Amino acid sequence: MKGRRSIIALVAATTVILFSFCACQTMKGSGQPTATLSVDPASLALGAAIFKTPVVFVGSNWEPNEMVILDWVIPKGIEMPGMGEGEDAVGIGFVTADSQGNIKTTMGALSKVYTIFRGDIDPETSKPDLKSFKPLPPGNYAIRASGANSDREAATTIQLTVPVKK
Amino acid sequence: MRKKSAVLLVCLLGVVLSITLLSSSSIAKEKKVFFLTLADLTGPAAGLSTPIDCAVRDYFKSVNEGGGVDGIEIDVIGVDSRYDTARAVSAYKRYRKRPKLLLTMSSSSGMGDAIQPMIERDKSMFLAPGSGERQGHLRRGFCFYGPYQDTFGAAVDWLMEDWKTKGKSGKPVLGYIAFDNAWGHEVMRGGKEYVESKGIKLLPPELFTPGTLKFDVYLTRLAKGGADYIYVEVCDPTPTYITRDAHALGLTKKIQMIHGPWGATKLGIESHPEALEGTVVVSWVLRGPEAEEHPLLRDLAIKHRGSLDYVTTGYTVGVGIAIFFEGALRKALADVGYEKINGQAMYEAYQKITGLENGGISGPCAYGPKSRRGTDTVKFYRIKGGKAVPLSDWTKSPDTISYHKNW
Repeated sequence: MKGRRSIIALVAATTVILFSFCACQTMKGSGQPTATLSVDPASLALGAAIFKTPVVFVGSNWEPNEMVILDWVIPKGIEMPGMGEGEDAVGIGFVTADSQGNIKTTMGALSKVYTIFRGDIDPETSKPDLKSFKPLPPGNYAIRASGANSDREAATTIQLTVPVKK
Repeated sequence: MRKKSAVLLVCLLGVVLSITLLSSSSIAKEKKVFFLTLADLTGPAAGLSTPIDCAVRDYFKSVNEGGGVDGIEIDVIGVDSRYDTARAVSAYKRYRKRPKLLLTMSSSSGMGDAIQPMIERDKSMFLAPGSGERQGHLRRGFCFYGPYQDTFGAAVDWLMEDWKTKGKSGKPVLGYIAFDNAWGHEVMRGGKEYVESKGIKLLPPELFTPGTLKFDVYLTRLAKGGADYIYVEVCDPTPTYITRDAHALGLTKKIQMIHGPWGATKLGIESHPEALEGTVVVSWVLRGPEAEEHPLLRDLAIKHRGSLDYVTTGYTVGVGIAIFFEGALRKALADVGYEKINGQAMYEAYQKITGLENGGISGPCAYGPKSRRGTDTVKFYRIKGGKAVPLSDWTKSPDTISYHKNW
């Protein structure tokens, strides 16, 4: 009887230990304000006009003065040059939050070439090699932001559409 | 009943013990440390960055095949940053918490600057090419070899000697041509003050947009300014194109062209041997036949790449970096042991490998508590008959960083 009690006690102790580990995982980030991220415009027609359109990311509730990294999430099955095995996103920007925890940044031309158009830069001219462009398929894409210090995360969606023929 | 329970308890403990032993033995088999490279494997700088990445991998592969460093394997995590700082920053964020990640190698100084806040927070360290910023502010970033301005300063010392040797009176006039970007401007932070301290006239720098293909305008302006020497601080193929244009304008007869550490490569020399004839290259590492005949470089290239053609400047730079890493790893393991090794231990170890030799691939290691210079020496080569021929032994570079007061 005593032995059975010992086993029950052992199992109970193991369960408590295991659960406390799991609880630590889920509690990560709790108690912190929820960071936000939005993008303007939220929809882009795939075409040359993208290079003339500032794609602006705005967010709040980040840790003051922390670096916030923006990643474009690539859905499974879509090829992305430079994206390694087991990775699900590529960086498209980074910005330092102001003293109030706000961020504002625009997507750079290089990121547009590499990510939206999956293209190359000509090594001699340092200009986009238009022949190499293979634009991402039209659809909705998640943009993920994460704080380098706080580990806070936020996401938004950008839509790529087929250009309207005039 | 009591007996049954006791048996059950023993069985349970046995299972727990077996799992523990199994997992610890698998850990023992996988004693690894990680080296993260943020390399431009594709994109505009791939020609320069890829050989460095290949060399680091080849050298570590050889180390691992020989049993690792004190039994510890070096595992390279490679990310193709495509010369895009946003991708490099994102990649570092992704891997920064990997246990036993000891160091990050950035293929550009700008990427190094961008990841530095996270590196400082993580108490880790990084290597980046040659921005004087690393030495100007002694933090967790280390130059591959010498800072760009020190290398430029070494060229200034050389040209003054050359001027004297030629029996010319007065002081020479120096032109400077570079990309109009952070790198191009960087050289002048300390470099300009150093030139002025020598009483040499430095013409206004000719800075151009990356991607420029014709250089006649800039070169003509420097020639009209009376340049006796022109220092070219860009990466190939651009220095080759600049010298090609100088040759076509007939300027190389009168003006000595000097290339910086990323100057004419084997490919550049082969494509324009006549135009490059006589050009001087200031190098951090062995070049030309000297590099091809170096036993370690030759063996690594043939064994892992199947051809001596891989022994380029980038490859040589990479092997030298890998040897210094191996030395620092050995030091860190001796100091803290495998269990405690981390970025901080490597950061401290890198400051204790002063004087470490890499088989003559470069001058001896110059990292130290007050130095983020990988080396403080350069070697001069002259392009003759389509080859880079040594013009000097390892020569001490001046400390131009100390000449700049606004770091």
